[in-house]
Amino acid sequence: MNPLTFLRYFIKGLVRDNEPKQIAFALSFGIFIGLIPKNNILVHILFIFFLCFKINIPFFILSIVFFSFFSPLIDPVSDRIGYFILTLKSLNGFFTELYNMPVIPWTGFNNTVVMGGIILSIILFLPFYFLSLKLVSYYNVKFKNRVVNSRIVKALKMSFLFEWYFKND
Amino acid sequence: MSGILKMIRYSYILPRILIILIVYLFFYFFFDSILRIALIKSLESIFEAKVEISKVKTSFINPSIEIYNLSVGNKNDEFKNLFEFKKFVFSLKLKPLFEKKFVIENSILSGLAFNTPRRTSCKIKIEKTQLPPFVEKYIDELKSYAELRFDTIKSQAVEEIKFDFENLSSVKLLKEIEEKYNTDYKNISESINFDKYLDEIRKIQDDIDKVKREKNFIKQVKLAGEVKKRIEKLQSVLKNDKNDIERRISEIRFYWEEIEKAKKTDIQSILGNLKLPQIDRKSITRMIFGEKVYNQFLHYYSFFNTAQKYIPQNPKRMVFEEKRKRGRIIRFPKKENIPSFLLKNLSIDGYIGEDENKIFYKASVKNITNEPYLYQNPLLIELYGKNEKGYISLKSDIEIYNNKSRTIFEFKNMAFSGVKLGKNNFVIDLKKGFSDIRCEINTSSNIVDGKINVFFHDILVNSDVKINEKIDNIIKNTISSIKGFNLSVFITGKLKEPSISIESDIGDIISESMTKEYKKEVEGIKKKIEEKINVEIERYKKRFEEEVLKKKQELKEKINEKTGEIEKKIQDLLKNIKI
Repeated sequence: MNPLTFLRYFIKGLVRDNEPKQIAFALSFGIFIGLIPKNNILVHILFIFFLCFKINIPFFILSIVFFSFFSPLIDPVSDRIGYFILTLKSLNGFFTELYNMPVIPWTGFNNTVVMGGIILSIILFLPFYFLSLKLVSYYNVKFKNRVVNSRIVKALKMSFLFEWYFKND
Repeated sequence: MSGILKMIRYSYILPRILIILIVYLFFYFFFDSILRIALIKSLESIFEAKVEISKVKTSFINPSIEIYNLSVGNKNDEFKNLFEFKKFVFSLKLKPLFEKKFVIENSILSGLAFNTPRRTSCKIKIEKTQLPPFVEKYIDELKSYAELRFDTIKSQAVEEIKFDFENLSSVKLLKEIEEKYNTDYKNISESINFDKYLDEIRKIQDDIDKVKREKNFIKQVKLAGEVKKRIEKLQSVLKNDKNDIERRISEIRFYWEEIEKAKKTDIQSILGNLKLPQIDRKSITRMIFGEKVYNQFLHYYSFFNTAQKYIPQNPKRMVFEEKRKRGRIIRFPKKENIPSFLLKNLSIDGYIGEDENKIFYKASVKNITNEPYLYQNPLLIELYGKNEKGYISLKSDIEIYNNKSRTIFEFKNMAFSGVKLGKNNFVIDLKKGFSDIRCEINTSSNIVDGKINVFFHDILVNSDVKINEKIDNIIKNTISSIKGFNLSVFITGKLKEPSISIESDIGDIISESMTKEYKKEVEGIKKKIEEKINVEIERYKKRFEEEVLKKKQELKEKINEKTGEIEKKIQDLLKNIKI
């Protein structure tokens, strides 16, 4: 995704797809990408996959940045979980098959932090979703009007460039 | 379900599907042409000559590539192709492709032919490959080799041999003898001085007069007896002196034996200087075959170098450095270690040679890979073909992972024509003929040990030699009578800097015939020198003999005359003494 497209989605997300569920999903999906290392194909697949859903992109991006920032603190936990899973004798055959399959090794599933991060993300997904939902409801009641009516957002919405950029969308 | 469908962002998905479709259509319609151009360009950079491909066909669903009518020009012969083939088909295995690995189980290469003629020039403007330093050294040596060898022969040629008559030891001896004779003559001539006798005769005459005046008869008789004794003594001394001088005269001789000996020494010495041209057989061989052999070697060595570029270093020696990553990598057993390029079996058919000498062959190449250390199976090359005249066979077993290889190549009755050997002033033109080739090359741990034997037979050969008339004729006659000869090339030493030596009996043949021819000439010259010396010595001898005889006669006459006079006086004395 080029920086301009990314900016476009980001700005769009400020005024669209801002239903509580969409924001909560965006924040929860961000955990998946935020917690795992970025040097594998899995990150790209997940990113494209999540963008296929009508989620709030700015919050999705913010969630990724936030969890990426704190991921080194969570890595020891992810590493242990991942190591435990990857070294389970009962799953050894399954992982060997995966390891010998085309493309799959590029996902870095055999990296303890990747595996642990995914497991942790799955565990945290629902609790975080509901927590986010509550937080967003609170935001809607307390801050949404202020933000939407703020001079910056108004100026952006009224600007010629803004209108032109989104006219075909 | 409908909730999830509502959640999907179609505005994001549809443009991407469209892009994928466009990319697919691009590859479907244009990829073949692009690949064809890319193949041509990359092959041209490898072979440094024009490459032509009529068609390339690819398929992505069942990954396969088909290449039709490929011809690669020969950079050293612009109207010849190095090789060409009609069709090359191979299918890639799909699964390894996802691991960026190209695995070909079976492939077919048909109509592969070498050294075929082409209508257009294959020259292209491309930066020439830098030759390895050891090859440059060989070529430099060869450039100056032919001239150097024949200059040496030329300088030793018999026509150049001269000798100074005055310096001959026989002539010197003659002069010494002449000088000695002159001294002897002078001494003898001087010794023929009978003044002492005359003095003695005068004294005796005086004494005779005294005797005659003596009145005492007894005393007179006694004195007369004493005088007579003195006369007899004088007579005896004169006789002795005469005999001595005659002996000395007779002792003057010509020393012919010594002169003969000196003459022989002179001839030997001149012939000693007149050495036969020293013809180094190895040098002749190297001069004739050197360039051709080195060029051929360079040709195949460049293939070897090119192949080496695509073989990575032994991974056993490499340290797999992994960047500092988050987490640990758990490795699971790999069921199959596949190199990034693997061609398991390549079937080839084609022909070698032209017209009635064409040999159709079938070949197979197994286990071509760029990572032999990972895929530890030997590269096997087998080729066999025959016609009614001969056969061709190649067996090669290359274990790069063990650093060893063994290759045996045989070609029985290979027809050839228009092969030119040597250069500049020494060219042997093998108009046509056949050759039997056997080549065995073994390598082990970067050491190469190879021997290539070629027997040329049933040949029609001409030579173009411009050294000097004599040598030209000898070589031309020798070479035109040759019906066959052997050539052996030895490749030894390090793989990166091998040393090449060449042996051939053609060097022996030329050398022998030159030696034979020069021997005849030397015999002739020996006779000429002998005659020349004889004539000179005879002339000298005649003059000397005449002079000596004349002088001897003079001496004899002189001594006879002198002694005659004295003897007469002595006789007179004897008459006078009678009382």
